[in-house]
Amino acid sequence: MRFTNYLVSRIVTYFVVIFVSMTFVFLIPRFSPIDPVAALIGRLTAQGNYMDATALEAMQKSLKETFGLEGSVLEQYANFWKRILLGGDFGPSYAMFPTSVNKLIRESLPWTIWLLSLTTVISWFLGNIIGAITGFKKDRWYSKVLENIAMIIRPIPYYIVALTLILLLSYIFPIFPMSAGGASIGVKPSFNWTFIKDALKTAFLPALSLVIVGFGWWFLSMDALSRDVAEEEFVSFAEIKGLTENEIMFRYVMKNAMLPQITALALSMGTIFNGALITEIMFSYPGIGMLLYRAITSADFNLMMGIITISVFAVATACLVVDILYPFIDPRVRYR
Amino acid sequence: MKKVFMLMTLLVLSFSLIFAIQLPAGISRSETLICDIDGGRVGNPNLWNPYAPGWRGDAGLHTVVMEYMWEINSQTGKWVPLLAEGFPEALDDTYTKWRIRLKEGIYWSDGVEFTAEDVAFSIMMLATHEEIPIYTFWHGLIKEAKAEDKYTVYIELKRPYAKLITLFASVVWGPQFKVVPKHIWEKVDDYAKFENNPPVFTGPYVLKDYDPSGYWFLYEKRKDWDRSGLGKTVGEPTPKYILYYTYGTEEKRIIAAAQHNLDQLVALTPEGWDALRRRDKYAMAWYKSFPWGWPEDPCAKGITFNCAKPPFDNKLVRWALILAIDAVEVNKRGFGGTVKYSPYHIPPLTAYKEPYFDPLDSWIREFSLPDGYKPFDPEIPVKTAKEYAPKYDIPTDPESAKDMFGYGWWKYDPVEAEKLLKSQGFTKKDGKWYLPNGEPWRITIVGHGAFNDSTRIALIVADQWRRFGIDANAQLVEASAFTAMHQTGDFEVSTGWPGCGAIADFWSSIGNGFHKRWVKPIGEVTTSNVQRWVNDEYSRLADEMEKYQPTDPKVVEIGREMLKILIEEQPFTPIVGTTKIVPVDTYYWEGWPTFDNQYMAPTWWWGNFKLILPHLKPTGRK
Amino acid sequence: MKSKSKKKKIVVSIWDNKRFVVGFTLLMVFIVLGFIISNFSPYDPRSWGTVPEELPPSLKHPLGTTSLGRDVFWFLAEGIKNSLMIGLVAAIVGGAVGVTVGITAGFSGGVIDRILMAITDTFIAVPSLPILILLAFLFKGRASIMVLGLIISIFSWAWPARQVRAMALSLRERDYISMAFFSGEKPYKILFFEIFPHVIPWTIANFINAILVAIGQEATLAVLGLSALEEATLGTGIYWAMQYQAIFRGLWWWIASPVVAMIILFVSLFLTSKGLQEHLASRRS
Repeated sequence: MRFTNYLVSRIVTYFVVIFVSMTFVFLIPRFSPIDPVAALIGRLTAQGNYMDATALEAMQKSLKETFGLEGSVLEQYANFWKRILLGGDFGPSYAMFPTSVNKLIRESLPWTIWLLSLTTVISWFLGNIIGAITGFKKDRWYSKVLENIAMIIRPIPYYIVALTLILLLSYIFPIFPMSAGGASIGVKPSFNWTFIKDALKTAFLPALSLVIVGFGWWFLSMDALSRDVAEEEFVSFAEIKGLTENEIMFRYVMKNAMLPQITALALSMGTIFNGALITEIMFSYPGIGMLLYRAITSADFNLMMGIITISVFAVATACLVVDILYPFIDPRVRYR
Repeated sequence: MKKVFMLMTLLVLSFSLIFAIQLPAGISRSETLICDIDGGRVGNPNLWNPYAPGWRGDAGLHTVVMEYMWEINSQTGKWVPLLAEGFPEALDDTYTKWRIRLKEGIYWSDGVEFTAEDVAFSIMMLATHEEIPIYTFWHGLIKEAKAEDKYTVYIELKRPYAKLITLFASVVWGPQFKVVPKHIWEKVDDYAKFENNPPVFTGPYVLKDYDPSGYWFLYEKRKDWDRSGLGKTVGEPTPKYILYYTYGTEEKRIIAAAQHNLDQLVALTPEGWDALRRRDKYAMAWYKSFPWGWPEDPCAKGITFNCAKPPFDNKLVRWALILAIDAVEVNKRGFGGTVKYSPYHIPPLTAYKEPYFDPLDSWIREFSLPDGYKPFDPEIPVKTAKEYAPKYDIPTDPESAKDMFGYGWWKYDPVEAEKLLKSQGFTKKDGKWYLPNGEPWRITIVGHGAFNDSTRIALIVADQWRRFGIDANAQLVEASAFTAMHQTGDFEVSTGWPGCGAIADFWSSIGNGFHKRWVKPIGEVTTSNVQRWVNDEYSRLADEMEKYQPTDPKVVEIGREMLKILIEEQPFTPIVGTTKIVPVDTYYWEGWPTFDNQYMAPTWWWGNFKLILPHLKPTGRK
Repeated sequence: MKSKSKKKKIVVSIWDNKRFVVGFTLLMVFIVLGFIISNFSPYDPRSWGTVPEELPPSLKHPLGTTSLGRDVFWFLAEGIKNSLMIGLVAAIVGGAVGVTVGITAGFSGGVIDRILMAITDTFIAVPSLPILILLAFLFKGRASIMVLGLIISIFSWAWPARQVRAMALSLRERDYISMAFFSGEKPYKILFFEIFPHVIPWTIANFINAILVAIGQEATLAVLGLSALEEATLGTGIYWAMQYQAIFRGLWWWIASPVVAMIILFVSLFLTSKGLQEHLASRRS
């Protein structure tokens, strides 16, 4: 009974969060000094498209109509929800008019999901396993070395890591020739070995950079967590019981230290829908982060809303899942 | 351990041999020209309709696939008829009836002949269809367009318009009018949503393949290239394949060019070029040596004042701020000394020397402010030449300095600036300036965050004004905010580039653009004259200029008077011209235009890029 | 016997903790460099063209000079100060709001808990980068170091709030606190005397982590050109070096200085925090 109550109220909160977030995100750009029509005209004039003042004036007027930006903010807001609820349509992109936002997202999202979910999981596993070992066996030399390495890698700004990898592995030792996009020229996304091999090769450097940075983060927190757990009484008890070191490490320390890491993993999986902007810029990798960034710089309200909506849904859902499942995992917490 | 190390080294070495870019099977690198994409990744690579608002021309569509009626040779300022024969002929004195002749024997890439019917259809499409948003202007202009015979188009206008050719001919980048094949487009219902994929145009190349994520586009030369406009006019374009490829950040483009995987680059920073030329002996820019870049880009960069906001409505205040700018330092820190000074409100182009700069030279030297002070300093180019002479061995005599760095700029004279401000009621206490009403003077300079030139000028000028005693700072904003803030007048000073022009007739740019009719109150959107500068005499001259065809000598006469007003008033102040450092890597392809061989301008991202293609020669390297 | 050893542990000085000593010493060096030495700069470190360009490190310019005519050492000193300020503001504001919201939500329960958690989740769910970019527009480039810290703190409180709430929930279940509640002890007393002590180690760790995250976030904003580019921070130091291709042009001192400073700053904060936590843990046991 208590659980049902909790569940219902938690799900209500979930929808409230999504609604409030999206309203928030809808309003902020509309009160900032950005305007999609101005952005498009700015782009056309910046590239030197020669248009005299009379033609520009005419264009400004008709673009506003084409984009459907004529009504008040309230009308636009109502329209927005109507479109979403009646079929999940985010409308056309302004900067890439007439292409629809859904199509643009559909094109970019798979790249993001495959790169980020893979690297998140890999770095999570590596970080946690190695972190548990070093945290438990904190006095071994390799623990100290690893901790120091992680401590130094962790604060390096990500783009410096990325640039170093490019310089090192694409220029000085060109093992991974520089490329742009998700696959080589002429290789089209499809389910065959050529494409998968190619996509893996192209994704290697961006993935490596993400794993390095992600590993540092997971490692340091797991290291700290397992150190704490190793101090707990049940570990001493297990030692007294005569269990081997490895048994203690895996069955007691790791299992307990893992709990908060599982929550954090769930949330990280939620945030992958934000994309990885700097990765995408540095490695010219297709993805949703760059799409979102471009949407902001070109005041493409529809595209912005489309991507942020997906991301809000993902993160809010991850929070919901964590909240509901956590008490099952950690019996010390009760629903309230 | 040693063995492992050896093995690693061997592995690395064997991999290092794989240097070249991987091309699809059957396409050899030596037949392929690899080009940079100006705007980076293409958001929607399926869109090939040049009338859709979100179209992109810079990934090959308008450089090698589409052809304009007239392309421009921006080095000479002359138009090259590509699809047309000769120039438009005015049939009456009021410029309402026109005739355009077309070349014979040009075919669309799908084999259908290109005729007057196509041109007439395209014009009427723009003149009658509401859904093509960019072209509402045409609705009010075109009355009728029809094919008189297979190669002659007759156009009748609703109102006199002497500048008709500027709608059809590329002046900068590309024109408004793009001719489309009637036999395909007449079947389309909604032109704004039409994707036009695959594109059918008259150009010498056709789309072969492209990346669904928009990072690369591969084009193949038409077998019947001789039936394209370029083939008829200039000759056979050399590369069999053209690959447009975007590597992304400047660092990556530099590496790619150094590895000979990018033959041509669009705009590097001076520092980026410095980095590339040290690594790649095949890399080459416009000049063999300093100042490297191509100085003929059609927009001068500088600062813009919002003349509707006090105290910038006072021209003496504007002049005081100009005299507090040290242009030599702007050139040095912002551009490594590679740019030309631009005292006039049109860019410092070679094409403008004869009509404007030389005739006005004695006038500008004698020009004085109301208090008799002569602000012009012709010595500035020499100063820059002397600064770089020790490092690059360049001449420092006034004439060579003028060729390299322009005619001069305004003096850096904080004393005179102080005098001007004090005469306008400003006060200076403890080295800080106060407005006439007693408040401290703060200025925010808005810069365009995505354009290096704009960013750097904003930051440098802000620094110089701070030293002068004004609490100035630079605000860098993204593209969308930059334009929106200008349009609504929500800025004080910005670093935009309103001073554009490429042909002697600058009516379409700063002529009509600074007409007082566009001025609207702050808060309302205006697309032109965002400076909100009202000048009756200037507007009258602009109206006068509109009455003449671009080639009429009267245009230049009126233009000189207009420039004088701009110099006196300074609603915006160009500081330097734009030097584009657009290097090429000559490992695979030679014959690029350079300062020593100026057959064309190195405008890879303009429609006229195709005019360069027949001049390229393969080096034969594999 | 047992109590004796316990007492002995309490007396153990924090200065016996090697990590703490190393971290704290490094941190002090940075603080002295940033907050004291930077005031003695012979030139305005932000101003362009105060020294000759592109000189490698020498006695006169210990870390060389940049293409902009700035002295790297003095720029760095000023940058360390500003980056630490950004970190401190973000950590203090974010931490204070986070702990308050988390504890309030965790202990009040019911409607208040639901509302507070809905707000918290909203701030977690909304992606921060786009909002930060849009906020940057509203400040018209006048975003001072303080304001920059505040902007970053907008998103830095939500996650701690969630964690504190979780901790509060589990603490509430502990017997001695339930006892205190039932015995009619005043809530604020329970808060201060029973609960805070349990949250302190976490608060320290979170505080230092928040400083680090804020400094890193500023650096990310800077590389996108969205930080206060006219101010000297570690992020803007990297931004300018990247803009002028310092790596490719062999001006290693320009790019390396802020990066190395960032690493050492992180290591010092990390070790300080670790040492402190270890010390507190040993005192508790």
